[in-house]
Amino acid sequence: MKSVLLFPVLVAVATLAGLVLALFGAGGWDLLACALLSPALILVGLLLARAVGALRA
Amino acid sequence: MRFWVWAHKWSSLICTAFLLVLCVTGLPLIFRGEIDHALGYGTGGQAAARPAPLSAIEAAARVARPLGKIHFLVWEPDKPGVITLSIAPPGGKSFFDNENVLIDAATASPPSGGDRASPTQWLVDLHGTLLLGPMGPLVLGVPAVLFIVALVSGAVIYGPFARKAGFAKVRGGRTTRTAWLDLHNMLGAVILAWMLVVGATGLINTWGASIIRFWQMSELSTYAAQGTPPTGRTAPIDTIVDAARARYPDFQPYFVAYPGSLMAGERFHAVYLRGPDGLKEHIFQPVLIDSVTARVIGAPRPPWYISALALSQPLHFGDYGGLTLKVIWALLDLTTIAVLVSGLILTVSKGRKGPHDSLAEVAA
Repeated sequence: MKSVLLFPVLVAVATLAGLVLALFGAGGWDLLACALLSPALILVGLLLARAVGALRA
Repeated sequence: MRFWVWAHKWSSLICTAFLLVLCVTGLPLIFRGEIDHALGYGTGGQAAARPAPLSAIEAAARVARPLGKIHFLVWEPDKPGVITLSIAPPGGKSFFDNENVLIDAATASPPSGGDRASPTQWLVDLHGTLLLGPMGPLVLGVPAVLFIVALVSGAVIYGPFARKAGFAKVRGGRTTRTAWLDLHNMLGAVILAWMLVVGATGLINTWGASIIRFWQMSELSTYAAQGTPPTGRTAPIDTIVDAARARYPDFQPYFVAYPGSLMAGERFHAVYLRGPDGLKEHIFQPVLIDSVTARVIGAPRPPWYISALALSQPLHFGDYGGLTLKVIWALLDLTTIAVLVSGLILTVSKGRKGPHDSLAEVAA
C-alpha cells in the first residue's frame, strides 16, 4: 500500500475503534473513544481551513 | 474504474436529497434529551424520588387514553423519573400508529410538561419514516443502500486520486471547482468510516420492525404454548416486572412489551432488561412472564440479529457516550452535510471545469 493511503486507513481504523469502544460505557473507555475519534475531527478542521483559503484565493 | 465512477455518481445523486433530510433532522435528534428538557417536556420526573407502583402508572395512562391499548411501558434513559407508555389507539393498524403518553414515575400523574410527546417526536417520525407510516422505513432502505454504494465506490475512486493529489491537500492556484473537488474528496475520505457505520446502522434500523417480527414468529412464538390461556384477568404489572428482575438482579428494566404488541406473545409479557455496564447495557435481555400467573416461562438469549439491531440504535444516533460523543457526532453530521453539498456543487458545475482540473475528473 502506498504510504499516502496509509494515513486515511489509520484514521478510518481509529474512528471505527473509537465508535466501538464508546459502547463499553463511561469513564476510561469514553475518554479513549473520544481520543480515537479526534484525529478525524482535527483533519476535518484542517481541510476546511485549507479549502476556505483556496476558495478565497 | 469507469464503472465505479458511474456507480458513485448515480448512487450519490439519487440518495443526496434523502440524505440531506436525514442529516438535517438527525442533527437535533442527537441532542433530543437536552432539547426536550429545554422545551419543558418530560421534566416533571424526579429520578431520585421513590417510584409509584407501576399499576398506578398504568392507571394514569388509561385515564389519559381510555380507549387505547398499552403496548409498551418504557424507562427512557434520557427522561429520568418519567415513564413513557406507547399506546395503540382504537383501530390502530401498526406500531407506527401508537401514541406516546408520559407519566411522572414518582407521582403517577402527567409530568409538568404535559403527558404528550415533545415536538422532537415529529422529527423522529420524519427521520425514521419520512412521515409515510409503515412504508417509510422500506422507502428509506433504498437511499440507505445507495449511500453505502456511494461510499464504497467513492473509496475505490479515492485511491488513485490520493496518489496524485496527496492526502488532506487542497490544491492552491487552481479553479474554484478544484477547491470544491478537493474538499469533497478529502472530507469524504476522512469521515468515511463514520459515514459507513451510520449508513449501515441506519439501514439495519429501517429493517427493525421486520427483524423483530421475524424473531417473534421464529422464536418468541415457540413460548406461547407455555403460557396460561387468557382468562380475562392479568397479573399486576408490578408482579410481572418483579419476577423478571428476580431472574437478573443486577439488571435494570428498560421496557415491558405487553401481549398483542410487536415484542411479546399473546399469553406473555416480555420484560426487557439492560445490563449494568459495558455491551450488556446496550443488548437487551428479555424475560418472558406468563401474563396470568406472573411465572417466568423463559429468558431466551437474543439471537445475533436482534443484538445487531439493539447495537444499531446507539451507533446510529451517537447518544451512548455522553455529551462529548454527542458533540463529536454533531460535528461529523455537519461534515457529512458539507460532503453532500460539495458533491452537488461539483455536479452542477461540471460544465464549467477549469483548465487545470484534468487530474481529478471525478469526485470520490
